[in-house]
Amino acid sequence: MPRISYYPVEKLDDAELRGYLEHAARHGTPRPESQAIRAHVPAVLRSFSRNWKVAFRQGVMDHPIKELCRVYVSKTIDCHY
Amino acid sequence: MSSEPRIEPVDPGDAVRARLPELFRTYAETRETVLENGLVPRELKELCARYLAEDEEVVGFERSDRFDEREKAALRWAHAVAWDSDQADDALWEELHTHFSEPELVELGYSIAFVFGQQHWLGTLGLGPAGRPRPATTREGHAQDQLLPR
Repeated sequence: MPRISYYPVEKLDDAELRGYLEHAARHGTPRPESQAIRAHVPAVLRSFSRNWKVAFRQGVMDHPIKELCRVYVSKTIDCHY
Repeated sequence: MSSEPRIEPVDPGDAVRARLPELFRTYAETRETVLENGLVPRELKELCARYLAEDEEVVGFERSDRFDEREKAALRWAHAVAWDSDQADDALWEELHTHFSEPELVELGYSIAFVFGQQHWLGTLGLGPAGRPRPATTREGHAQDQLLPR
């Protein structure tokens, strides 16, 4: 059981926020479980998802470099993210 | 007249972020909607930011009577998020759920993680926790400083 419950996606009325959860469920990244926890606070889900999109998925830097750094950070803190 | 370069009123951290306008925009939105406002009092998020910046007035919080139990629970979580996730055990979570609602925990935890990342990133740029040039006298001035990253 997670330490904080998953917010039910069907309760999200905002199309943008709902889209973030559906995207995570479809692609597995960002991790859908952590997105469902962030969904308790719309500003948090929006902030994380927009930053993820702008800084990680898109942007000016080659994505493989950012993915390499993400994996490095995950491994060094034993995160399965 | 000082020879020190000045770029005020733009904060140095923001001046760097502005290299990528879209990212700067999302950062500013986070600062406005999550760090400065939201469900959890700004002062408590600021306190956690001071702890993460190793403010001498806050790092010894466990032995201090200046902080109430709610603040101490938040600071214990800040420590676990930043340095030792194993310390987020059953006892700490029981304490957190006693003092905070689930939405408050989401906002507080996100704030802690976001601020911690920003502080370390700013550090590698040679900037202090609040985005200002790192003071030569290390942490002495931080107690009066505004430590939510700028």
